[in-house]
Amino acid sequence: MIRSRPQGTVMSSAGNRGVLVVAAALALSGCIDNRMTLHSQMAAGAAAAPAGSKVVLREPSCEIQLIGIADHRPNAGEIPNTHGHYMHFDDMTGWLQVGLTSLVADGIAIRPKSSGELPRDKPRIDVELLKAYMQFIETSKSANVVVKVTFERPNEDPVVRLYRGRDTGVNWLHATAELSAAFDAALRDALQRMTPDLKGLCKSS
Amino acid sequence: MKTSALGWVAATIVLILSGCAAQKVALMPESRAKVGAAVVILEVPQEEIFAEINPSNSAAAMGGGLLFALIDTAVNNSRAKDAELKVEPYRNALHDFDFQALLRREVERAVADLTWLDTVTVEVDRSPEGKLRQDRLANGTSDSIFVLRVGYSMTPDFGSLHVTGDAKILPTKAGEARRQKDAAKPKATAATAASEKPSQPLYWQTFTATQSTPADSPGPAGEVWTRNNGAALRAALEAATRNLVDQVAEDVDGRRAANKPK
Repeated sequence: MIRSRPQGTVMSSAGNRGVLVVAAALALSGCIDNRMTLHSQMAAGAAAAPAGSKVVLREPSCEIQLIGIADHRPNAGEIPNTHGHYMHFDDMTGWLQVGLTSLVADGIAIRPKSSGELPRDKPRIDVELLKAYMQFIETSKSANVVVKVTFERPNEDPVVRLYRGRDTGVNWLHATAELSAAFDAALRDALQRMTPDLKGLCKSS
Repeated sequence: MKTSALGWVAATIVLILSGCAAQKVALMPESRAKVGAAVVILEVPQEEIFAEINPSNSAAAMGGGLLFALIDTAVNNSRAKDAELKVEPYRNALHDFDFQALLRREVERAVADLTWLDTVTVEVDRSPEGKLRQDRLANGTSDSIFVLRVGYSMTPDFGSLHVTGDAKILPTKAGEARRQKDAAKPKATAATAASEKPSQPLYWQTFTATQSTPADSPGPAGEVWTRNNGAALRAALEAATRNLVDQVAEDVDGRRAANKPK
């Protein structure tokens, strides 16, 4: 039995399609004001663990005091990007601290001041966020993080080093969760690059 | 009915996209009079130097299709990863280089020579969305704003450095109001009144300045640019920025009539 479509159905479906196409065209043409707020999804204890690996928590053999953490960027809280859109990242210093304090690497543990002051003979680090931005390259995105770390050992001059972290991948949906995850991965990359120097700090202390 | 609906959709898309396409506008003598007192805004949303890639265009070449679009996405992502890795030494070499300050210096030098331009201030905006531009257009007291949006990058082969600029002169709300008030006087012509469309740029051009690897420096290009704390890279960035600003100044001053911007 052939049922005839009521009049207007074709028009209606074409109209719906039209709305979708126009919305897609608007989104793709970049004419709409797109304000985004990113949130870290970094779970405690997983900062430097490769994706998919199981994290085994154990007693740290070396504790490092985090004496300071700062975000001195000109527009702190905002994420510079090449997409022309406003992006904000909630509590970047808090995010950086979660990454540092949840670092899992060969018994190293970084303790924030809030969890109690360690004895003065323990190694200390001071961390400053220099850059956090998103670069868009054709259909890809690249989250970049640059941090300055000052290593302090008792009776020694401080040593300052810069670390970069990066995560480059396809910008599938340009969604908040996707961009936030890219920043988390970039921070994990920076922490992995920092780990050998943290181990060195522990060995020499 | 279906055809006309789809036609409407197609026409809408064309209209939307054409509204976003760059339309070059030369600074005509009658427009120059409207510039009046201008705030110069330097927009530099870029944090560090980036590496360009040669984008894959198989979808366009094959007449479209999801499969080719996915191939392009994968190829571009691979190239983007490679470019981001290779540009890292360049970023390290420039980690303390203040590009915004360099640009500001060069622009202040150039606008001092444009005697007809009544520059109020030169301001730098790092926000991606052009926050300062929006604020000065709506709330500023100057007649217009002169916006120069600048980017800098290495070419895909890392053989050259590009500094690009998008220059616009836009009338502010306050400037428009003053001109419309003047246009309401008897001496105003119909042509003057018709040209008073809000927020139409009085001037809009794009420019590119290029600096290649120093020819007299031996060694691989990457090493030439980045050794000695990026001395060659810094010098090239300074030269290209100066060149770009000179191009803009000459064009807006009408001295580039025979030599159109790239």
